[in-house]
Parts: sequence; C-alpha cells; structure tokens
Amino acid sequence: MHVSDGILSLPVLAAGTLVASGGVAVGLKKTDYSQMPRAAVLASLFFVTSLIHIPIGPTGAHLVLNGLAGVLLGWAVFPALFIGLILQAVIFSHGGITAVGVNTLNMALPGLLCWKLFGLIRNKAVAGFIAGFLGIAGSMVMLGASLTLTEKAFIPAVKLMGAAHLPVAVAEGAVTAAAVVFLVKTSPEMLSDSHAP
Amino acid sequence: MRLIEIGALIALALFSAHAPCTAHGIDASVGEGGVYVKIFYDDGTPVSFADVRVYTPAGREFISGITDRNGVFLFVPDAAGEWRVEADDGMGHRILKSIEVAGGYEYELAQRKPGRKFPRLYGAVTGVSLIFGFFGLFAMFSRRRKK
Repeated sequence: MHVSDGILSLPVLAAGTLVASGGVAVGLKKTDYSQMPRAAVLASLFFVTSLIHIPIGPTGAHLVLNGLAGVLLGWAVFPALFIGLILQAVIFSHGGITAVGVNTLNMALPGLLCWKLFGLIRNKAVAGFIAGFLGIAGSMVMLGASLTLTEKAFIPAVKLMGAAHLPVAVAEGAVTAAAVVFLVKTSPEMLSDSHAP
Repeated sequence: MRLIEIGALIALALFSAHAPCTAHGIDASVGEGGVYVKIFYDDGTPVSFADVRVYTPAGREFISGITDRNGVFLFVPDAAGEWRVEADDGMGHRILKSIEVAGGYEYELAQRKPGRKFPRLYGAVTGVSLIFGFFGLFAMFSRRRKK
C-alpha cells in the first residue's frame, strides 16, 4: 500500500506531491490549536498500527486507520498522515521518501471523503463501518490510479492487490465502526466537533 | 484528550515490538558464488538469450530465465543433490545437463550499512515522540497566528 521509491513516474510523483502539499497546508491552516493533540494521537495511531501484523490466512496485513483518522480530524488528516508517512519511510523504510507526497494523497484524500460522508449518515455505527471500508478501498483506487498512470502494465497487479485488500477493508470497517460506537458513548463531542463548520 | 488514550498508544507501541511483522520495505544483500552453465553451439558460438529452466534435486522448478549474451546462466542452489538444467534455444536445439551440488551455497551477507535498521520498539517510540513533537510545534504556531 505504501509505494516505495523508484516505482512511480516523475509526473505522478510531482502531481501527487503538489496536491498533497496543498492538502497539508489547508489542513494546518484549518486546524485549531486545541485540535493539535487529537491530530497527534491519530497520527501516532496510524504510525504504530502499521507495525502490528494481523495474520490473515497464509499472509496478513495491518490496519491503516486512515478512515478513522479522517472522520475524527477532517482536513487535519492531511498533515497527520503526512507526518506519519514521513516517519514510517525514514525510520522503517516503509514506503519511499520521494513517494511520501503521493502516499499522503492516496491515504488522506479517502480519509477526507470519509469525513464528509460520516457527517451525512445518521446511523453512526454504519457510518463508521463505511468510513473504515472506504478508507482502504479509496486508498486502493488512488494507488491503482497512481500505478496505472505511471505504466499501463501495472493493471493486472492492481487488480490483484485490490482483491487481496478486500478482507482488510472489511476488517478496517469493523474496527472503525467499533471505535465510533465507543466514542459515541464516551465522548461524542470528539465526533461532532470535527464536523463543526 | 485523556490520559488513558495516551497510555493505550504507548501500550500499542510496546506491543508492536513483539508482533511478528512481514516486511513492508525490502532490502538487498550482495554475495558471490553460485553455479553457472554456459550453453554453446558445436562451433563454440554462445547460445545467447536461450530459455533455461533449473530443477531442484526433488524435481521442482527452481528458477527459469534466459542465458545472457555469452550463453551463461547462473543460479545459487540452496540444497545438496543432483540439480538439472534444461536449455532451449527456440530453434530446435535443447540440452539437459545434470549438476551434482555437494552442499547448499551459503553466501556472505555484505553489510552495506551496518545497523541501518531501526529495532521496531525504538522506532515506534521514536516515531510517536517525533509525531507529538511536530504537532506541538504546529500548535505553537497556530496559537501565535491566532494572536
């Protein structure tokens, strides 16, 4: 899911980095001082969860939580995932450093869309599941686009990856739904004030 | 933002050090050795870019590829026994060669950058600390902007 260095073409990298920078700038501008700790917590969650391997059949995966981050942060999801991704790349070689912009866009944009969607859906448990699911599915679509825009030959690989991530998307939907339900019960203001205008 | 959430994060970071994790980054080590076959015609000209298949002593296909411009195909056997190499030039010439390998080849891992890999626990703690550091800075600037 994290694209390494040397895979994507220069135009894709440049465009992705440009758009992601814009997103990060907007995210930082729109984020109030009081929201920063929450952004830090979700960035840390995103960062740490990639280290926890969940066995699925012969292989396994890790949770991404970009959907949850999007729902709780809104525009701040861009800087949060950006920082998380840079550190993953530098510390663990998890994804390329030149690809950080594209990776940020691929994960934060679906997160942002999940934020919008979440506000529109009444039943928060369902909304949470959809957010988690679309976080992964959206990232896969963006990743697929990045790869196929680089080279058409990637298409079969993209289809394979997409299929492989379907169970992950479902798992992530469940986790996000559970987290949302928990927050609705304990601190509902966390959910509502990320939707404040 | 409550203390219990911070505590949960730290617990996660510590827990992650013990969870086996398939690598998401890849690395390469460099070595020397192996077994090569050189395929050539009767008159000595090399059979370049010919299809080659290599079979393990158990009969399973180990690797396939093509010979280089000198007719050479190299592989590193990982078990002792009789390996079989099959080469085909696509023009009706085929050869099957048996190679007796005394021991599996081990090759030295060339340490290009010793200690480059961060141990996972330290990496996790470092990362989380840096994340809070960066957002602390952002918060500082955001506050200053407000005034």
